[in-house]
Order: sequence, then C-alpha cells, then structure tokens
Amino acid sequence: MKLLFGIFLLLYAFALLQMSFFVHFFPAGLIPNLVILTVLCLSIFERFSSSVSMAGSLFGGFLLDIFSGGIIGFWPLVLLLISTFIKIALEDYVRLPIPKKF
Amino acid sequence: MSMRNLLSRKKVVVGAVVLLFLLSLNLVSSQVRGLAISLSSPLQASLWQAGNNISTFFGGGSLRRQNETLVQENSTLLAKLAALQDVERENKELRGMLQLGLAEEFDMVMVEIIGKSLTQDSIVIRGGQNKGIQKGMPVITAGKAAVGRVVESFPTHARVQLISAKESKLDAKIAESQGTGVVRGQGGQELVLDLVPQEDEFRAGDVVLTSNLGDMFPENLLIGEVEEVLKSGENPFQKAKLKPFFNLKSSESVFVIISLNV
Repeated sequence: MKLLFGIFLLLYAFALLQMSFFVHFFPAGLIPNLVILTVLCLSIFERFSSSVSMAGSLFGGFLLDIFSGGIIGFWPLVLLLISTFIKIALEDYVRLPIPKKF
Repeated sequence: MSMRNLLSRKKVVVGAVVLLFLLSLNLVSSQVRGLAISLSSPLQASLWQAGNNISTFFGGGSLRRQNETLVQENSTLLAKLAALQDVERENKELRGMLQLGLAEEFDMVMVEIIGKSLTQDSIVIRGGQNKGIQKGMPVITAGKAAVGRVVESFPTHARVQLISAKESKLDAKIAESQGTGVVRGQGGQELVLDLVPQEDEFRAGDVVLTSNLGDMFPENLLIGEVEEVLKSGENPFQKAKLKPFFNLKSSESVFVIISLNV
C-alpha cells in the first residue's frame, strides 16, 4: 500500500514537473513524458504477479487525460494495454536477466 | 498459462471497473479538470517560476533577460509598423474621407501562465470565469502576438489552445505583400502558412499577421516570421514554415481579449 501511494505521488510530481518545470529546459514539444516512462519501467521491473504497473497505468493515464484535455479514460486504457503487452512478452517470449524489484 | 495468471478474474474486474469509472467522469469532465487544476495550481505556479528562474540563471542571466526585453520590444515595433503600413494604404485608398482609427484597442485581462498541457499544445492560465474569461476568447502577448484561444473556462482557471496546436487554423496575411493565406498549427509550437496563391511574392523574414477574414482574432496581430518558403510546381498554392512570435519558454503572462473597443 505504501509502495502504491509512493508511486502515485511520484507520478503526480512527474506530471507537474513536466507541465510547469521542464517546459523551460527542453525545446518545445520535446519534453520527455515521464509519466509514460515510469509506467514502462514499472511494467519491466515488477514481478509477473504484481499489480503495481496496472495501478500506475490507471492513475498515470488519468493524470495525462486530466491535464491535457482529451477524453478521460483514453490514456489509462492505452497504458494498461502497453503494460500488459510488456509483461506477457517478458514472461513468455523474452528471456532477459531483469531484476524484479517489487 | 501466463496470460491466465496475468489476466486473473479479479484484476480484470478491478481494471474494468476503474476504467468505466474514469470514462464516466467524462460526463463531468469540466468540473473534474477544474478541480484538479485548482488543487495543483499553487504547486504549478511555483514550479513554473522556479523553472523560469533556473533557466534564466543558466541561460545567461541578465544578458538573456535583456535579450527577451529587446525581442518583445521588437515584436511591439513590428506590430506598430504593420498597423502603420495598413493605415498608410487605407489613407491612400480613402483620400478625402474621414480619418480612421490608427489601431484597435482591446478590453483585456492580464493572466499568469501556470502550466503547459502534457500532451497537446495548450497552456493553463490563472484566471477563468472569475475574470470574465469565456470559451473562444483570443489570447495575445504584451507584444501583440497571437497566442491562442480559450477552449475551456473553469471558475478560477482556463485552458488556452495555442495557435500551434494541430487543430488550430486561422486566416492570415503577409504584412509586406498583403498576400493572404491560412496558418495551420503543426504541434510542438510549429506553424505553417498555407494556401498562399502562387502569384503572391514573399520570402524568408516576412512578417505574417492575422487578417480581417477570420473571426477568431482581431486584425494585425503578429503570428510569426517566415522561416522558409516551401514552393512546389504542382501545387497551386505556396507554403511556408513560420517562426512564431509567441515563445512559451520566455512568457510568464498573457492577455485575454474580453471585448474589442473599435
């Protein structure tokens, strides 16, 4: 639960940094999307049975939708699909010695 | 096997319920966004200020600030020049008639930028229905450069779609030749001037302004400077890449035009 709360806080902080802080340092439109990168990292480094990336996808996607003006629910669905795909691919088709942290 | 584990019934149900809940928020999306932006605005404003200060410090300090001031002054002078050129032409055409007003005056509200949208070319400003800001109102800089228009107005904040957004289109004219065209947003703060007839001559460095054909912006606002003319023999129209006058990185506040005082 603590981990989930921490990840939610991290995603929220990244969303705010991306919107208001990094705008001044990166050429326009080329700011790395830290929310998506975080969800991708969670999907890669979590254990197969863990649900942290799923929760991260839903919350991170919600933040992307809420701060961008698109349809709410679009990014959660996209991130959820990408996360599921990565986890299945890493479990069944790719044999890499990736340390599973949580 | 793994698919079965990953997509266990419990996870699928929880995921589906959360997704359905999120989709149902679209029914009250304006209120949800308004609440989220209001809650985040103090943090966003501080981060925007911090980012601005740090980038100014590392980007040359006072020299950069001086440069920004000069760029803004240059924009203002270009806008005045364009307005004067227009008036001069009108004077020639309407000799003997009553003198017309030199420039339009706007009823404006100054608002602070507190954030840029995560995935689209839009910004969030501090000021909404409480300052009389409504959907569709044009937004400009102090140097009379077009920024965008308000697409969502919340009680204390508003979202402004930049003219560089992919959905944005506005009628424009070239200050020097008076040729007309349409400026389309390309995303990533890039602009393209399109639909300029082949017979209209223009070159890099020419200034592009809003025209009186569109109803979104008042006439003679600065849009951008022609960076590169893209000519094609097959196409009946000319295109050009524009360098926008509005620079998000060096802007802290913008003006929303509430009404035109012609």
